[in-house]
Amino acid sequence: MLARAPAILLAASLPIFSGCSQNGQSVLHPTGPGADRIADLWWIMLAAATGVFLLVLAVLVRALSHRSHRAEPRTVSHDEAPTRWILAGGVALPTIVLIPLLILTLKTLAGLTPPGSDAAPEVVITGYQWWWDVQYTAPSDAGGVRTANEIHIPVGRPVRVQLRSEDVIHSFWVPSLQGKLDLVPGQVNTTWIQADTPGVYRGECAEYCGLQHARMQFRVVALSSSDFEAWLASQRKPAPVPTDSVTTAGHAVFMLSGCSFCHTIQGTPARATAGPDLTHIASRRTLAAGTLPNTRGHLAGWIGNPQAIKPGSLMPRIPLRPEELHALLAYLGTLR
Amino acid sequence: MVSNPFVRTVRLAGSLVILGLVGCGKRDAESTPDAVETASGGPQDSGVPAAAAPDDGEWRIAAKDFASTRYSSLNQITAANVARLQPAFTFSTGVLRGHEAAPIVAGNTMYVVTPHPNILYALDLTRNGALKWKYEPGTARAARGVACCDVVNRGAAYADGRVFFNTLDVHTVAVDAESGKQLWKVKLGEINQGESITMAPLVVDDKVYVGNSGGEFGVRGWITALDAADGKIVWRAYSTGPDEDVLIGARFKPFYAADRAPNLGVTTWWGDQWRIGGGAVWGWISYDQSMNAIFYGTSNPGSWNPALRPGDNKWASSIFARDADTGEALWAYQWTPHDEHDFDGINENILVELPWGGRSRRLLLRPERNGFLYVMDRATGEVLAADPFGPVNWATSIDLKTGRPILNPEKSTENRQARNVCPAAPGMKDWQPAAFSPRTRLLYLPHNNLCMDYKGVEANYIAGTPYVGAEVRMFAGPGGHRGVFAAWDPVARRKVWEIRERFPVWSGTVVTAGDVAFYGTMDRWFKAVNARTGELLWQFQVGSGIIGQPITYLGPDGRQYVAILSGVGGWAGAAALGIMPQADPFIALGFADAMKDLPKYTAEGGTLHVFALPQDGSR
Amino acid sequence: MTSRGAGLWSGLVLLTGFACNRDSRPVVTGGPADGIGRAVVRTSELVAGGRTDHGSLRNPYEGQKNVRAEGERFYGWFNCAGCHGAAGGGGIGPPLADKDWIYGGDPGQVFLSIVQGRPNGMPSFGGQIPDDQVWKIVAFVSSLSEHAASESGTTEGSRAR
Repeated sequence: MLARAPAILLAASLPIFSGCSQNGQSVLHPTGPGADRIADLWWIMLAAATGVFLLVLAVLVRALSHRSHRAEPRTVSHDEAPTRWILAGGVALPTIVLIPLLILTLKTLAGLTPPGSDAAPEVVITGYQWWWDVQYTAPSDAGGVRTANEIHIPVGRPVRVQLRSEDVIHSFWVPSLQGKLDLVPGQVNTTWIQADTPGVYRGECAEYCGLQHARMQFRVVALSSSDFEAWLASQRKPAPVPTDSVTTAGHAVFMLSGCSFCHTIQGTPARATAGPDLTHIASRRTLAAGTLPNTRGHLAGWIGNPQAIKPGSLMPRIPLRPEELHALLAYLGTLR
Repeated sequence: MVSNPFVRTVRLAGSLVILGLVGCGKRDAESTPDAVETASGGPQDSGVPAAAAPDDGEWRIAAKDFASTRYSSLNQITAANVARLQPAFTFSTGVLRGHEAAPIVAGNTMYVVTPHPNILYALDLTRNGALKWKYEPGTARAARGVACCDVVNRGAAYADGRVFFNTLDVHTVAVDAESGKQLWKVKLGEINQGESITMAPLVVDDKVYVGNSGGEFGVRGWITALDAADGKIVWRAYSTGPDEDVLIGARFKPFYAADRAPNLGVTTWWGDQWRIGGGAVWGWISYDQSMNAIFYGTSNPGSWNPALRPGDNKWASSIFARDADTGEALWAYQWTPHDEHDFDGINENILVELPWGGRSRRLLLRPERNGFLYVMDRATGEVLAADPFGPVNWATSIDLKTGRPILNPEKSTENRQARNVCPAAPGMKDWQPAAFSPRTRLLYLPHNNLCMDYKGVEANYIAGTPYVGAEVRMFAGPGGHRGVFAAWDPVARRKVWEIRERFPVWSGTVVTAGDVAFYGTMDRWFKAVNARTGELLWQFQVGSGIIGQPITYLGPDGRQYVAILSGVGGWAGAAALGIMPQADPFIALGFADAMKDLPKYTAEGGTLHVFALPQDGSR
Repeated sequence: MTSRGAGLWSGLVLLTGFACNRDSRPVVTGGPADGIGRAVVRTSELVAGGRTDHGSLRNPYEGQKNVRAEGERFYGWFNCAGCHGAAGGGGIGPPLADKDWIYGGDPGQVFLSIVQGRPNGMPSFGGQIPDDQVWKIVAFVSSLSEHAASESGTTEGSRAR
């Protein structure tokens, strides 16, 4: 039974290696050079740790199974072997194993420095409780792009990201692309992300930041270069003017029910910045910082009672009549 | 008594001559023997433009003349006799709060506009200031909620038998000067968008020029030309937005190359932030007849937090030269690109002709909020000189090749706390207008000596509410005094003398041919100083702190009078208006903390004071 | 009375009966003019008729101290701080950190001032900010004057205007 212990343990640990790669969020399935380096280091450390573990296990098994049944007491000479063991196993082995690991770790960390350190960041992310404000720094001849909870990047090149916070400490983590970096109020941190294959990657807040920390997620969408430029161009446009009676009524509901006190829709008089910019809300994949898929039904539920979905979040419940909500949804649906 | 016919003839002839002289209006028939230069004359003369007529003893617009010199050629009151100046009459306006107006004198009547509710009084100067009529425009009370810096009004303007003035709730009114009957009243903006009006309008020929206030409420600044006959809008030029809104077209020739790109009013902003981009026109307008151009400045860009509006933010904190008839921009220059310290660019533009670089040049002098005293060529918009007229550390200098300030990154407020920035947000000099004397060729500058800590914070835009986003705390500048009254030589580019005051000198000034300059202090002193030496010649303690504009005029009895409104308030006087800086150092945009001792010196008031020399043998 | 007299009499009565109620103005019944239900929230201490009560609306968050921090956040968001100062020192609007209230300092009176607006420049926020957020702001505002001195101002510190 004891002899089979290692085998049992190995078998039990196999599911870990299968990796949880659902939702494009897995440290073990990196899709960018940043996460690649981290994953590589992780595998090496796992191998080293496993090796050490097996070694220790073997020694333990040997020690347990080779009990001597001699009658005579042990002599002093038998005690010299333990010293050798201590020196070998407690000094030599850790040095041989840990120093290369240290060097490897430092090299990995160095490789994670944001490239092009004198360039202006391309994306400025400000963390709020409990959502992500994403701003693309404007080139000199165009207006700004501001969205929330979704970052679009072109595939194959590093994108510098500046991290700020307006209230408490958050942490930016896209496991498939990069390691964590905190958003600290009063400080500006810079990190970078790069995706090598197009796709949608899930990120989340990795530092406890209050009631709804668990529902503060975001998406990183990696697009080909041309798709990314097209997306950026469409995001620069202001909101379309409502054309039919329902969307016009919805626009009025937005302006008059207090939505304009917290949200911006570029091209309208609503220019508040307490909540996410909604100019292109219909183009986003999720609502409420990754909590809900962005469908009309979910949006209705969110607007109708945000506190039921994300209790403690700062979006209040504004009572709307059914026809008002219907018109508002129609209007928001045009904000592509 | 002798009934000799010859003597009678001579007497008759003499009387006719005298009548003729007196009846020709209010001419100053005397000139002091040692006056080498007079106020009238052409370009080779004193520096006053050719458009100036001999002083008629009136004061029809707040700036005295279109060149904004605030210089009077009246010289009965001189440095020698001003010590005998005494009160002639007073008039209580019945309103408290800050009295910033200049009284207007035309046709033996004085016109005074009060702070909100903006009552217009007409006082009969032939009856010692007796009330002729009053006109109440019915200014909305709610407008008080969108006045950032007290509910002030900077005065009326007289032209062609009509008196024009603006009300806090964004109306312009024209009233018959004789009867006080309203001729027209137009609404030019919306308090629910944060707009208000505090400025004194300028009237030139058939047009009335009006600009809005509200840089702290996220308004979109504009200047509007109204038809003086009926108040209809002739043209309106915005300060931000696409070129067609800013009236930038083919005639626009800014001096600096970087200012020539199209639609800078949009491209130097993030997204459509220009729609709430400030650039309000709440200050002074000058007019040059030979160019047929008006010159005026624009306020700070909307939001005091520069991080919310990346880009140069044109055309806030700028000066425009525009065709007076059509409004087309002739040139523009931005004093403070991407303003980080609330340096509004609305101060007065004094138009003079002075020798510069070996020849006589038509200049524009601007003691600017950002601490530099600019000398510009007013035909082209070139900056010829820009020298600090007090402690400045937000920039080291203005690069004359590019026209841009060389910034000091230590004093940047972009996402950071800046400490000990000089000058403070009210600037080296705020709206309080300076004067220029062609006799001394000096500028008389009432100004501030303040520094501040300033930090940009998040701001949320909600129409009709403040859109500021900064925590500011002000304190006295180097020396410990908070105000200065100084004389500056614009050609030599240096300060000639200065008088230090306890509080910011928030009043205007007037300088006369008698070489006397008048100004008032917030601790209730109305002062006369020698325009050449700065020596204090006379002072009188009035009822409340002075933040108004002094004027001087010739009364119907041929004597020279000096008038000033007292009544503390304005942004500088906020601490005396019942707020609590001890509870909260950031209130009144940080000013109240620097003025905590003001209530020890003055309470609120509202009085017109008029002074003259005693009647016996004063001539 | 004769039958003819009775007929005449009843005819007269009937006529007057038809004559009555020719006035078609509605007659309003009910109690004295109310504010909100029975609890009249007055903004003036001067009450006609010798009464000295001035009613009250209770803050549903009364006694909950954590609500003050949320109220402070809204106070900044909705630009209350822009006119009244972040700590209620005043500015464009009157101070909230003293005991001098132009329109009343009870929670119900402050609530109504925010929701209705006030004549001299206080904007109306009703219908734009939900009631529960207004009550949180009221809780914060009430906390600002907790340490205010009760005597009138001196040259060191001034009264509100």
